[in-house]
Amino acid sequence: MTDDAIDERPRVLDSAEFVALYDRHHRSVFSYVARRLGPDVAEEITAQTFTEAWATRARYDPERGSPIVWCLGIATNMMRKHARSEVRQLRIYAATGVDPLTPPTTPGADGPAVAREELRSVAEALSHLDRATRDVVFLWAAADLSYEEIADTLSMRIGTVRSKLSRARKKLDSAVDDRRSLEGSAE
Amino acid sequence: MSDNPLKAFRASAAELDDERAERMRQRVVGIVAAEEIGTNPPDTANQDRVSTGHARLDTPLRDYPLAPSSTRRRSQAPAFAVLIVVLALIATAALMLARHTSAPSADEPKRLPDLRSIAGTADALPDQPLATGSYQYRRITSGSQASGRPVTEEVWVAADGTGLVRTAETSGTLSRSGTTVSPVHEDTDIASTRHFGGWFYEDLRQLPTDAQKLRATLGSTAGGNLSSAEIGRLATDLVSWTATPPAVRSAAFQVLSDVGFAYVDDAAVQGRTGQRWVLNDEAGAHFVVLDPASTRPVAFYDVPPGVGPEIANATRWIVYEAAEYRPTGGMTAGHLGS
Repeated sequence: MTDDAIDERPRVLDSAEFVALYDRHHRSVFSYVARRLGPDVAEEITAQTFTEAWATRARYDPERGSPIVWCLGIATNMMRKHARSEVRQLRIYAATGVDPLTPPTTPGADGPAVAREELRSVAEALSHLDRATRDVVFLWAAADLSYEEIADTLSMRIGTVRSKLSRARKKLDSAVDDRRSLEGSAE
Repeated sequence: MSDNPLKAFRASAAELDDERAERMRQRVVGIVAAEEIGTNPPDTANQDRVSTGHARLDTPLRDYPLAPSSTRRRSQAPAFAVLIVVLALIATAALMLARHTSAPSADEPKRLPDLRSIAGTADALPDQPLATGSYQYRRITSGSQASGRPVTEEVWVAADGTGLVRTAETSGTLSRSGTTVSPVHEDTDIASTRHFGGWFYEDLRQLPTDAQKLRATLGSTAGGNLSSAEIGRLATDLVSWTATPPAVRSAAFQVLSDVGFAYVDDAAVQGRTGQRWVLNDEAGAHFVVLDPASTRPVAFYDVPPGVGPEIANATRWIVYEAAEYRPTGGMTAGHLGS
């Protein structure tokens, strides 16, 4: 390796910089995982994510994505073994109306009212998505990442992200529309 | 795209409370500090493991002390399993030997409760079909360790599936009083129907009275392949409704027995007492608290692995507060009264 090559390598985060990174991003990682797997699993995965990030910080290249993209990528990777559990929780939510991961929200308490039945429809539709598409949807909806950031996080082409998200949104829209039309016919 | 439902779904995520945040920070900062003290270099030896510098879905995770390698665990798992089976056999044999060799005692412990005896009680209860114009009513309160905001939900469901739902945070004022429930359609079945409380009246009346068939029906609900604990949860929901026929109710308790719920103790949960039963699996301990006399559930809650068996520490919980036939009190479907 030449001196030039050494100079081009990104500087490795020191402990103070890493703790600052943790303080800045741990809530985003926790929130993203908690929506998918609940707070207890989220605590474990969030801690493991930053542990892994610290251990592999020498390979982090800021030019290939922001720190939060890096961390969400690690977290998404760690959630793979929980994929079946996630689907089950979504299906239980859809079937019983009680969110297994959080208590029921109180729609209408603030902001525009979103019928509880619609949330169940969303849960059911999400449960039928394949894992990779669900990753895209949650990174977009729960982590507020842009298409480019999702592509970086999942090492996908941006076109793939767009098409997966587009198909998923159509399915979710269709599920909610079906529910609304049923409610309309009941009134 | 109507993003609101998905955004609202996102908004319902558990918030990070201070205690949990502090626990996580100590853990991560502790590891960082330990490596600093030990002057261990960062992992630069295996640069090609993640060539992009980012996590890849096809990249194995680092074998880190806090996250034991799944490969290593897999390699040790068979040995542990054999050891556990051998120990269990030895313990069982010792217990049987002790029972056969010891003299009968005057203080013989009383017989432990049996879910099948509750099934027998359920079978002998009178059937309570729903009268025309009446509603099945149920009130449950649910919460989780993370939220600290229990929510009470009241549901009125008529025989045709129409009805009302009313939810309120128990610590606050009523914020939503009602909405419509879609009617059940002739071409829908239990496995594909979304509805309040899990069951419409006609569903409840037509469920199998054979325990094995009922277990299969419950297991195919919500997309199928449900775990024993999830089937137990649905069975618990099933027996919480007044309109559930005695024979179906009886079969549901046999299902709870068949999937492996074991008696723990008589417990008080949220001020209500009952028999506490538990099913343990890899996801933790799943508790159901039952009133053996009425054969109604009192509560259902889950405790993750490594957490004490107290409801205050439960991941999530549901308390069944009331179930009966009740009018809607002047509220009509579609009318948002206050």
